[in-house]
Amino acid sequence: MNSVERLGEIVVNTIEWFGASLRFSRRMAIAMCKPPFRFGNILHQLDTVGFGSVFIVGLTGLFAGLVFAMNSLNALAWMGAEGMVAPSMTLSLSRELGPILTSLLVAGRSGSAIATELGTMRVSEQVDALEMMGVDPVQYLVAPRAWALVISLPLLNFTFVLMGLIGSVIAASPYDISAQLFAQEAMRMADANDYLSGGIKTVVFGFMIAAVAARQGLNAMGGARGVGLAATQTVVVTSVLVLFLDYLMMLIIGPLMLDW
Amino acid sequence: MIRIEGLHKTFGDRPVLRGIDLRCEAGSTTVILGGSGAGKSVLMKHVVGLLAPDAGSIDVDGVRIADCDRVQLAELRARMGMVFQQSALFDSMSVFDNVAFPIIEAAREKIEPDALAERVHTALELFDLRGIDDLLPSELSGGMRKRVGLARAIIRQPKILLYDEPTTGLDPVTTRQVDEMILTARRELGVTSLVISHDIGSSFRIADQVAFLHEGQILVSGTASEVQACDIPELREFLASWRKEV
Repeated sequence: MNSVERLGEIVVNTIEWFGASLRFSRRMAIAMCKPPFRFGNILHQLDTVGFGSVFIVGLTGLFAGLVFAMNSLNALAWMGAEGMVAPSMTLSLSRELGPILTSLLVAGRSGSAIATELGTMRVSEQVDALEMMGVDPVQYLVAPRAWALVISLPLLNFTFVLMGLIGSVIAASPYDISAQLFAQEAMRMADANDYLSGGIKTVVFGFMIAAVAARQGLNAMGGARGVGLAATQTVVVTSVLVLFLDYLMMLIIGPLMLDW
Repeated sequence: MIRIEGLHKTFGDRPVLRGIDLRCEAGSTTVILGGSGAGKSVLMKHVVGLLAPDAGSIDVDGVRIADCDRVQLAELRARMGMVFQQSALFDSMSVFDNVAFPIIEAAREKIEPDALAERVHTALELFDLRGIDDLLPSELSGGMRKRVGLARAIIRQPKILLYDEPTTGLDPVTTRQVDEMILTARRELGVTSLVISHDIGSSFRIADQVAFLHEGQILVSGTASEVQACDIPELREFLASWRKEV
């Protein structure tokens, strides 16, 4: 096979992969909206995916806020504009840092866990057993996990932004910027749409992480190696897609919500 | 009754099933015997509609699998039970929840807790399983897992039972127990059973009909004694190791 043929094969495979992923996403969306709704399973997944990620997301938010604010203050101090750290950090955290870093953390922690769990169920025939009993694996296994991600990711994003702002306030305190002053300055430039745009993004990211992780897991083959591969591919693909979708959504959300 | 006619399946450029014809009579036990890579599991997956054939047809109780949509397939599968090679018990659930699962989640029957417990315990006791309700699958032996898997498969009183390599990886004593379990299921429930296996001794003990599958084709089919008397070289070679053991 020459290099042109190889390139052609890669392009065709990529297009096929996207097509199959979109079909799976559609199937997952239908399963999420179709009864029976298994609220017990959703709550269990919310606990695992959402509550289980609060600590790591909060901690990352706190330190991201601290470090970014310290760097910003260092630069702003040259211009005597330390007060600008509040709106600058608020906008960065709510629009970009929060949604992206939260989604990357959840993709690594929960996305890989979902792919591993479903992959293990696939290779140990538990998914086949469900199908044999007439239970749709997408509705029984995937939909509760997807709901958990779609619900918990905006809340985790809120946690990240909140902890990031606390970190920024801590970093700003040596510059005589009190928490009250920080809040006043932040509210002067940022509004609800900044937080809302981040929230919308995380809903989309949550859906995407669930779809990729579930598809990789349900298609796992070949025992432990296949399960490991599914988990690795989930983290790589979701991380790339978070960044790519973020760019696409900013092109839409920017003019619509952020007065670009 | 299960009727398979002219079944062909190819993966990539590798033909796995090459014109399978087989008839499993109602209430009988048919064993599809063959070595690794003969196409047994692929054949079984066609019977339950997990794979679609390239050519040929499968009728289960008069219903053509290829013509079924997802809902019809689910209805058809509700009349079947399957015992998987690795038992396929849900490892996060207790034995009780595993056996109750087809009633609660698959059929979504509204059933009183007492009635549910009675049905679960009746199914477990049929295979001599008592006092293990709260155990997890990881706490069971291989033979017990198989029996719990069978209890789960029969809880909705299926008309057809499918067994995927039921004795693989089991010691001779446990293999005998599993054979007995298959005979019990047939005797007590009157089900049509289709078993795929490479365990020759076990197959001859439980089968009314044995079909020898080799490289995607059924070379011979008949009673255990008819198959043992058959002179086909591939079959003679396959049976030779077992005859030495016996």
